[in-house]
Amino acid sequence: MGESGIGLNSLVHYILTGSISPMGKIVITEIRLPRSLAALLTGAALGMSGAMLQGMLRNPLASPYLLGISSGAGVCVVILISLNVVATWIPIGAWLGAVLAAILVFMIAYNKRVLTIERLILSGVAISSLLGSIQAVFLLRSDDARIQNSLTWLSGTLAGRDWSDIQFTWAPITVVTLISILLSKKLNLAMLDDDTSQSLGLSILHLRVLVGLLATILTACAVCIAGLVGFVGLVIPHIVRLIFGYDFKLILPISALLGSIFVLSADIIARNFLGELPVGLVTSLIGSPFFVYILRKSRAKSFS
Amino acid sequence: MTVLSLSNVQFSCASKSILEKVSLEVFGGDWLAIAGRNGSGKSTLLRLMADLIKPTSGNIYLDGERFEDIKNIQQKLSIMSQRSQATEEMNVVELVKLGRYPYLSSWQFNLSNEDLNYVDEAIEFAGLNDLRYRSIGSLSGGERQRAFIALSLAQNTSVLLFDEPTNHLDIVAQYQILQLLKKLSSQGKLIITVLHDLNHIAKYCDKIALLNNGCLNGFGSIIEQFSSTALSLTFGIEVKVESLNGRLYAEY
Repeated sequence: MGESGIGLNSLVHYILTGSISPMGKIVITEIRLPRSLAALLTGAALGMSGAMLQGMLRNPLASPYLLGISSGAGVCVVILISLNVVATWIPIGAWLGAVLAAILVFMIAYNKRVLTIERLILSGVAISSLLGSIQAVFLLRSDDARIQNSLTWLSGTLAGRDWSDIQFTWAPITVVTLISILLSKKLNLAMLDDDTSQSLGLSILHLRVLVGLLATILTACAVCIAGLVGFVGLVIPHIVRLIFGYDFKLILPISALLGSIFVLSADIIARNFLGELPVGLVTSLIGSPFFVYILRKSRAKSFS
Repeated sequence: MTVLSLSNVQFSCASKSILEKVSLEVFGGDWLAIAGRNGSGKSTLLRLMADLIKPTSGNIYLDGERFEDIKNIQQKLSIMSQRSQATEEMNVVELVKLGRYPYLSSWQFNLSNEDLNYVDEAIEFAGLNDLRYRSIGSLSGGERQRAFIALSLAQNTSVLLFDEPTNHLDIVAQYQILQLLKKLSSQGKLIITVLHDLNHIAKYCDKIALLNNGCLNGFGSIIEQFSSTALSLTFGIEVKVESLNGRLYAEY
């Protein structure tokens, strides 16, 4: 597979016997392996944070990008690219932008020890559109090469990712994913209205802050690796709920798993058949029709 | 026996007093109705009793213990709020299972067989056996309300609070719900409801608390308090009370 012509049989041979051409070894360990891991980590982080946010916000339309995270990362990266900053700073800028925007959204929404869902979503929308327009201003004033550069990043790409791109993100993604699974009971209670969930022992403010924090870290790490890969965080949790029902004990780990498989598959398709199209476009191009299919099938089932 | 008592409970919000020094005491097996006009503080009183909000001053005791000192108060009190909601796609069993969460230890993620028995009993009691796997969104108003009652029941508490449980329901559904609560109260549970229909109160409840503008206008047994004077004073319109075959009826 791939442009270098190192096929599946050379890989299997390498795994089984450890012998391979020096060129093949480099392709596998220095290019394909880190890139595949990058895809898996991105998918797991986005699937997980999407599932948590949809639960916490009781909103099936919530995605990791709802709380201003994507626009924060986006505006930072576009500014960095247009200022011609060294490329190694871009992931760090994206991470910081994502986290700062999310903190800002939470601070605006927070009022008198209460954090309501409506205020969170509305302040997310407000901050996103503000940062989006700032981003557009910088994009419009950039030259063509930089615009293309920015757009590729904004669409989400895994092209050319190597070990350095995941060395700082694999640990937080793994740890936060594991911690998040422990929140499954609280997220189950969060499917009820505030009074009822509180009467069953849930502290709503704590849950909202905690989920906000964990989901932001996950999303910021994913953005840091691959830019803005859309669709995964929005739709993977839906598919999981439609198939596995409403227990976050299952929804969370399966969303992470399915998210990572999905991004990896999309990336394999992107680099083999679509001439290195940004993976974020492939996830939407393949994912949307599939999602429509699942949606129609599940509706047919619930009416029968 | 269960005893819930309020002593000089006062609640204000943004320096506006919502509830003035309420003191009352109710026991297991009692069914207390809280009645009064909209905005008189009924829901606030109920939410205080459910430990959803804390009194500004005064204390609430359950079996002689202050609320603040009770561990796992969710195992002792349950409330069905006025706007109970759950994700529409969730099914009845998934909903009722949540009632057992107060009994799970922090590292326990699965319900035990004992927990599942409580869930089954609660569903059976609420008459929802045939609707176990139906989604909440597909239930009728009455079925939905019974699903939330089953959620409260699974919690297996000695005190059950209900905020307007019969709201927006047809008379059959109202009847079914009041019968369920009656059965619970005869099992020795302490039932506290906000109810609007005075004739429901006279028929089903043992005690009544009358609220007017945040003040407790009257509290006591139906026989003592369900009088034309007390009700007219509480609601600000003329309420006549008549007795027929040993039962009280209100007309307004």
